[in-house]
Amino acid sequence: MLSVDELTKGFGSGSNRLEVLKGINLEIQPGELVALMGPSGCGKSTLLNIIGGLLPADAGEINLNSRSYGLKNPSSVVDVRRNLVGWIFQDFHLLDHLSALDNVAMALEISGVPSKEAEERACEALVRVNLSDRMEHIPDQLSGGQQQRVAIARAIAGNRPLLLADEPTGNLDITSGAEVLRLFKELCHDKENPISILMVTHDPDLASQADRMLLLRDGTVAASDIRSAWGLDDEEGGEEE
Amino acid sequence: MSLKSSFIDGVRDVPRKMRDVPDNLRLAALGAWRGRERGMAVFAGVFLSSLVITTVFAYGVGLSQVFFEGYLEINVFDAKVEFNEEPSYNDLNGWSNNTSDLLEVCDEFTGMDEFSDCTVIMGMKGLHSSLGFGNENIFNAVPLMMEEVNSSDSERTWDTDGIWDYEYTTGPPVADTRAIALLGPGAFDGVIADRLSENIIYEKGEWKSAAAAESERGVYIPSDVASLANAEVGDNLSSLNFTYTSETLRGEMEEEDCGGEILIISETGFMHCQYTITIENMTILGIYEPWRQSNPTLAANPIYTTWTLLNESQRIALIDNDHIYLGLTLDRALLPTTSTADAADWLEDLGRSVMFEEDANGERVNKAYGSGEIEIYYIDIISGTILFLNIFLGVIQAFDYIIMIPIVILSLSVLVYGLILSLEQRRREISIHRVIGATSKGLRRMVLLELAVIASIAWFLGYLLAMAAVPVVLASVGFMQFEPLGFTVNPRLSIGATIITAMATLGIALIFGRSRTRDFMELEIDEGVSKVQKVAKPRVWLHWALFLVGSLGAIDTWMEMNGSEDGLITNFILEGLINVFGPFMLWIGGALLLGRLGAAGPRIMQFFFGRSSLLSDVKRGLKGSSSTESVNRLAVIMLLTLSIVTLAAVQGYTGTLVDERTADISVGSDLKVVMGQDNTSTEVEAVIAEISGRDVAITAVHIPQLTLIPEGGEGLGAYVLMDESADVLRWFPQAIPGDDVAAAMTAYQNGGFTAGEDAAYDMDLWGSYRSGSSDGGDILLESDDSRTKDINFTWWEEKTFNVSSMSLETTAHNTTLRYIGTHVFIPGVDTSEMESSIIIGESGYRDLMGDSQVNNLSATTWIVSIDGVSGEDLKALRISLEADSRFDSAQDWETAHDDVERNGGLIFGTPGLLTLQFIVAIVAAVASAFVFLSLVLNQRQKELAVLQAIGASPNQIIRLVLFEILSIIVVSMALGMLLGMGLALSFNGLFNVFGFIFQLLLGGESSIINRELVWPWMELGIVGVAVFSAVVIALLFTTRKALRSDLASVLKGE
Repeated sequence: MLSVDELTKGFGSGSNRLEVLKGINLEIQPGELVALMGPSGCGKSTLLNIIGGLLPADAGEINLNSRSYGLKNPSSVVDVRRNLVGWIFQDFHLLDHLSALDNVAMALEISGVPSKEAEERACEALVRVNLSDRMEHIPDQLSGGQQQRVAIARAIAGNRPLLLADEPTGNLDITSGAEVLRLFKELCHDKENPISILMVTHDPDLASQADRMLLLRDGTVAASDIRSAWGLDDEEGGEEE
Repeated sequence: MSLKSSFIDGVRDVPRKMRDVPDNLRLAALGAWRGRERGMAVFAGVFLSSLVITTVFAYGVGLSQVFFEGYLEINVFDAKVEFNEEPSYNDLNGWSNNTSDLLEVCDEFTGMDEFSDCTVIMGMKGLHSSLGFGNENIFNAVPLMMEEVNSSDSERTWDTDGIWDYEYTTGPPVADTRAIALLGPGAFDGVIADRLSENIIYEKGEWKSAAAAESERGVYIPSDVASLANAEVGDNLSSLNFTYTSETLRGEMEEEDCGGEILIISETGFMHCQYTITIENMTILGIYEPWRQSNPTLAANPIYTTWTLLNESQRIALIDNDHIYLGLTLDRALLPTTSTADAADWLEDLGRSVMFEEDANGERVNKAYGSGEIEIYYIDIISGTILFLNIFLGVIQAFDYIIMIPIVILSLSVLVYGLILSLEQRRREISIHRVIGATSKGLRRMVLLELAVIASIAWFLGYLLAMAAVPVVLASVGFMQFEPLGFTVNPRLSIGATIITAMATLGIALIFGRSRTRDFMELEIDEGVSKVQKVAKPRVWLHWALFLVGSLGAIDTWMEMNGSEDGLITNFILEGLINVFGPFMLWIGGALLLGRLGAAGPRIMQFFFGRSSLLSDVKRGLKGSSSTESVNRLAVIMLLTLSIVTLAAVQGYTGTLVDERTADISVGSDLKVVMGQDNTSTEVEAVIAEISGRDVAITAVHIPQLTLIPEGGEGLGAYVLMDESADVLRWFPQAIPGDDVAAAMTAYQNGGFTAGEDAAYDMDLWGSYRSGSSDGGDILLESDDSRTKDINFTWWEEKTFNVSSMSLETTAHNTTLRYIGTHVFIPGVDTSEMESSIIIGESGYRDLMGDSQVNNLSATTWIVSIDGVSGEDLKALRISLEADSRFDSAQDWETAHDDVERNGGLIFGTPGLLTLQFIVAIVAAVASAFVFLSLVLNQRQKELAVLQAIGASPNQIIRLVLFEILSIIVVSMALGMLLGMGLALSFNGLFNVFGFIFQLLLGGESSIINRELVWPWMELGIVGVAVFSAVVIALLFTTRKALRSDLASVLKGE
């Protein structure tokens, strides 16, 4: 469903040039919950941003449900963000002045869904994330976990095949975090409409619950075991964050 | 102890702190430059307020300079030097009747740096004391008075009755006869000659040298005298008689006490014993245009000749009787023109130094001149002028300061809002600094230093620009119209005033910045990084109260403009108070109330566009209050600026129109002339064509007057509008019934007549308001209107004896005319009788007079339109007509307009101030749009990035932002213009109040022109579109910038 081929990305120029991604290759199948791990600064978020159409890569290609992109500017891949990937951020990034329902419906309307249908689908999505009793609340009136569930509802309401989650539990307590992960699993393993999720996390426990784990190191996909992912065997090792 | 040690530490720190100053300043400047976007908000606020406040102050200084220079221009002599005491009081000492001694004194004066020229003049008697109220000596200071001129030329009419009558308008009634001044040789060269020759009319002679004046036995006369006498340059006068006064007493002089003739000034009861002196065989060398009368120390506009034509005994007689003085001119370049106060000080010092000196004992004694024989009394003519100016200026400045209050408040609001915004932008930066250990004191210092650097630069630039702008402001002759002043104005502010401008701008920025930063720091401690700030609840009831009370004045004016006699408020004092304070209450209350409505702009506009494809996909984003506090502030600023723009444009254009109409009403058309003899229109047109030397269309019209007796009534004054009056006279709707001048003219031509209100009352016609407010109005009555009425008017009844029937027959010259409404005036006709008169058309006049007489209508007073001659050409033509012996007097529109354009409908420089308000408000609107929107978009960057992340296209974002902000702006602009219109109405009362004060002060007649507001829709539309376009450009620019930012970093919060 998603395949990333030889993706490279660097920042800066001249002697300050830093190659962050040095040829990433990966694939994700429909309904797969994949955890992306790696030391700080290894390019996890950069990779996620490129897949999510927020950042262009220097070289390589991404294929998502037969849409090929990767090198284009964010303004040229609006369709990717609109129809193919849903975003879930650590800070939730909800619109403060809109209710939970409006936050979800807005995303649908932007994609061209008529108002009425958008509201119906937003309701469904919020019911799915177990927020049927909080639809008219604005973000300030919701807990962190609830806000993150609104964000998830926003991401799934548009029937996007891939969710990108950048440290989705980073700002949540353990219970809320676990709940979010349980929701992810449900979404991935849905019989009728399975969604794939690529999740950046530093939490090995969370990662261990994923279907698969990818470790990013030195700009490439290096391993799929937790110890390596945390660099525990590494000489320079140690937790950085 | 600890206090002591901390003090010692503090002192020890001083050198280190001093060393750090340049470094800190450099860092602050660097910080200001890096954060220039947020700095721009502060810069704009301080710059605008500095510009406005400095302009207001410098304008006051400039105004006094302009007045001063203007008044200096009409003074030929700057100082008068007399004998310290009247010669008869002191037979031997302190004076001399030898002209050589006096010339020597003159030389002593011109030897001083301060004086540029001097001449010995025989003319007005001495005052020997300062000119002031209650000083009776002033009545002794009579001029040499003209008595008679004889000429062998039979065409000259020197015997015209009242030819030597002259009204001195600026001083007490000392005399009522034309004066003569006999100038010394010094007046025919140098500065005095330059000044005197300035007013010699072109091609009407020249100011000759002393030798020529003496050898040709020259005399110079003012044009009004020349016109009455039919005199021309080169005329020989066989003799010229004038009188001098030997003694003056109040009501006690017996004939035997006076060897000459006794002249009684009836107004004061003073009696003057006068003797005649005759000079023979003189020649008119020039005709001059009279000066505006100014300081009464010297008699205005005299006949000029030279005392070298007198014989020795005549000279001695004049000097012995105190008819002698020195006329001095100052080197005006040395006169401080920074302010009238500085000039007055300088002059006072000069006066003291020329009159007194210290003797060997250090005591003050009179200074002696002319080989120590002559003691002088020095009269400073300029200081006298300054005293009057200062009173007048004070009132003008008070008025102008009041009308500048809105723009000062606006600029301070931009400053305060800019500061708040700029500090809010630093919230994150300050949090980070605090996390890494910066103290709140240190942070405050950092913020304030940066603020100080930006604000100082802005203040300085605003100050410089204001100084450059003031001469332009002062040169305005109408709204957005400028004409050179004719002299340089160089307004300089005193150090005190400069400090005040700095305090009011820089100071406010720093004080406000300081308290705001402190609040900010406390907020951080109390609430961490809470997003919700506690906002004080506005006192809406107070805003409503201000708004409603303020509206009373506007409603009052509106009602008065629409036909109501007294408007809403009838109590004079209450109306005055509402007129002065109402505009400000309306403005502040209105801005705060309407600002809330402006902020609701998106909801209002959504009502119209919600279902269109423009919004269908993004309208949900407009829900709730996505507009930040900053956008609401921008809404208030837009409201304030647009209301000022509207106010300035409406009042500015209204003032300009009032000036034009004042000229229209006094002259009637391009020219108004009074001929020496009756002429027909064709003759008048031919004479003017001949004098002008141009082949242009000239139409002259006369407005005949007669007395008509309405049926069953008493005689009424009637003015006749000949058919040409419709085109020749400068009509405007206030004059005639209704608003349509053409329709009214047609109604007159078709046998209609109008009546003034009093005349309507006499004839018991509708329009007199006899039975209440419904019994009158500004309406042209149609023939089927029940209020119209046919009235038969009789001019006179001709009684003839019919020989065949042997009976006395009576032929009544009468006509029936239809009443078409009430009039107010006819342009060019004295307004004093208009209320009690009627106006009839030419057809009725022909019925009464018969065609032959009307066709050959002959009169002396004519109102003339001349196609294609205007401006300076028109003035020159008028001067030529005036000097021509066939004309008794002439007025032209340009001169009448010049007289009022700087001090008529709007007071001196006020059109300039309104222009400044207009321009500054537009600049403020555009600058605030750029600065505020840039900051607002900065604040909303994250929101826009989130929207993009969830699939919004740049187009959708732009639509969302544009719609939201533009709807706030559009609604605020519309409300601002509405508020401005209310303000303009409300301010009209203030203009009337000050108009009344000026009339009291100047003793002038009240103008009958209504201050009917002009609504310059076109200009306001252009401004509206221009400001809106600027906002759209600013918005597109800033939104695109926000869209170009790195989405990933923004979302990460980097």
